[in-house]
Amino acid sequence: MEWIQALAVMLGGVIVLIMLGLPVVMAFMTANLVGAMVFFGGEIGIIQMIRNLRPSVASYSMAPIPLFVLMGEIMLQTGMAKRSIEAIDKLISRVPGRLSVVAVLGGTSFAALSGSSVANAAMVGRTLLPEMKALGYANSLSIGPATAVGGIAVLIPPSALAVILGSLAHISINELLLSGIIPGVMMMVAFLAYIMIRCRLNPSLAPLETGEVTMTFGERLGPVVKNVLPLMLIFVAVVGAILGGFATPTEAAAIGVLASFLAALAYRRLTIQNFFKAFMESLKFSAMILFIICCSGTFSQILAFTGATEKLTRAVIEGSDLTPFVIVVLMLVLLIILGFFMESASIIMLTVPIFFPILNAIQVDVLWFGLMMMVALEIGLCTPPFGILLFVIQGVLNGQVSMGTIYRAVFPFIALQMLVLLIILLFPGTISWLPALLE
Amino acid sequence: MKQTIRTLETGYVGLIHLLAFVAVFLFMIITGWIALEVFSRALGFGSTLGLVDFAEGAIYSIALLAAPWVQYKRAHVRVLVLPEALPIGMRYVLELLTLAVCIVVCSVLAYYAMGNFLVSLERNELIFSELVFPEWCLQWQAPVAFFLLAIGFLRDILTTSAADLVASAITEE
Repeated sequence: MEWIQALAVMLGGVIVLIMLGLPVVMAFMTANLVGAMVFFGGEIGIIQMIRNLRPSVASYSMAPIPLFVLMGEIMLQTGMAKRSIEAIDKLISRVPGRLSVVAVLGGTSFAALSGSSVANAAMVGRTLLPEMKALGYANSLSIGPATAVGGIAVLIPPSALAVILGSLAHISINELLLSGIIPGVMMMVAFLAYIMIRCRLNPSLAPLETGEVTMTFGERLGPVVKNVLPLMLIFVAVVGAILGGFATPTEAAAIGVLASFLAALAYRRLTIQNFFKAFMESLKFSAMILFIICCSGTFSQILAFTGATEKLTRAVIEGSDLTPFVIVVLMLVLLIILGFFMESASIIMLTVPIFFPILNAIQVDVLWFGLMMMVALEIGLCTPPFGILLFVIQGVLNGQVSMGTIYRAVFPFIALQMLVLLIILLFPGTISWLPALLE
Repeated sequence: MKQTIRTLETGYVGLIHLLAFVAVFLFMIITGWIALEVFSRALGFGSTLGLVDFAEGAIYSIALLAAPWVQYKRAHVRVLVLPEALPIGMRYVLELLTLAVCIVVCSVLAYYAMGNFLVSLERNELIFSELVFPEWCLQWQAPVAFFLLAIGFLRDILTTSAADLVASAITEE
């Protein structure tokens, strides 16, 4: 039963080490080192592990990861993201829960320009939460949408996580990126509907602004035309390049970065300082993720070499009476549970070598599952106790709001994310039409 | 003695920042090169030679060369739910234990990565792709990164005190 030992050492080991507080990458390195010594024949195994570092990450298809993060950092560091949210703020008027609506629309727009959910939540939170707090917005309509909208960046291209998942699970990155638009838009619509219904039922949750400056429609629209629409052209360029087959996701990402720099230059927001800051901040996040991916080769090799992947697949398919649908549901439940404690890249690393051989064996559409996996990962960004966006928002609020309050505020939005996941699960046609259209 | 430690500290911090700058420089090159490639192809000038090889090598180098700097900035993602639930004394012991594990793992990996690099250097085998280059060009990053990570974790062990954890717990609250 070597495969069970391998599964226990590799999966169990990583989870225990992460829980003990080891940096995620070191938890994977430690499990790989032990696994290489035990199952790969000692020293030879360790050398193999060293030699696996490069092939795991050195792939042209991985290049969009830093590039998509850089796009968001350029928007953030140059202040273009803030200006576009302020423009949307001016445009929206006389809507129940106006600032919450602005948070959702602004966050979704920024998601179309950034591959980072953390940057998205931080941007929306910093720009709108102080005003919402001053007006007396209920936490569920201020903290809730600011936190949850951050996760939309996971779904709408450019999405760094879609690139990681696509690369490791061998799903078409093109299709994964483009199909992500649908659940992203569904999420946005669900958030907006919830906000407006709640405010209609109880207007005191989002008090109206007093002494509102009267502006003509032209004055409201002007900032959007000037500060938002040109930036949306970057999204159109990135998605259009992939959709039209002019560029690979890597090339589209580079076009997006170049267009973002040109936009910053045109708006006269680019300085040497924010140029380097954008690169250094992107480097910090990207290098952390890429270093974790370096461990993926050895991790999946040990599971495959010991027979754990194959035996587990057989045990699930032949040893149980579970239907493919139930297997998919169980996998999604496991992903959501892992999301309580772990961050997205680690979950992908941990589950892809186990899940995808099973999914391929039971002939499940991996694109459909990949998208649901991304939604589940998005949910994990907001679920306590380790939803990273919860900490981002607590940081934005300078720790003035307790974690319990943030949990309660974000809960209805988690329920809405679950609802979107359920719709995709029950009606795969909601997402499959776009890839079909592309073909 | 103190002066020597300070000099070593300055050298270490300087080196990891230098490697981070190399990483960011590679990042800038691939960003510009890939964008140029698209325009070059669109304008009918064709593809540039060696982009894929260079980008793949650069991504690997970025991951490894920036890793000690990311560790210095304490930006490697950690889950602190369990440690933060422990009393300060136990949390301190756990912190020392996890750092010790990191030092051991990085030291072992640095040792074997160095051996792997030396073998590669001795053989001087070439990688034939769009670009032709010696294999050791892609083997030196691992021993450097793991060695500096081990030093970084050792530095954390020497500088972390229970008082720091109390202070960080107060800040978090």
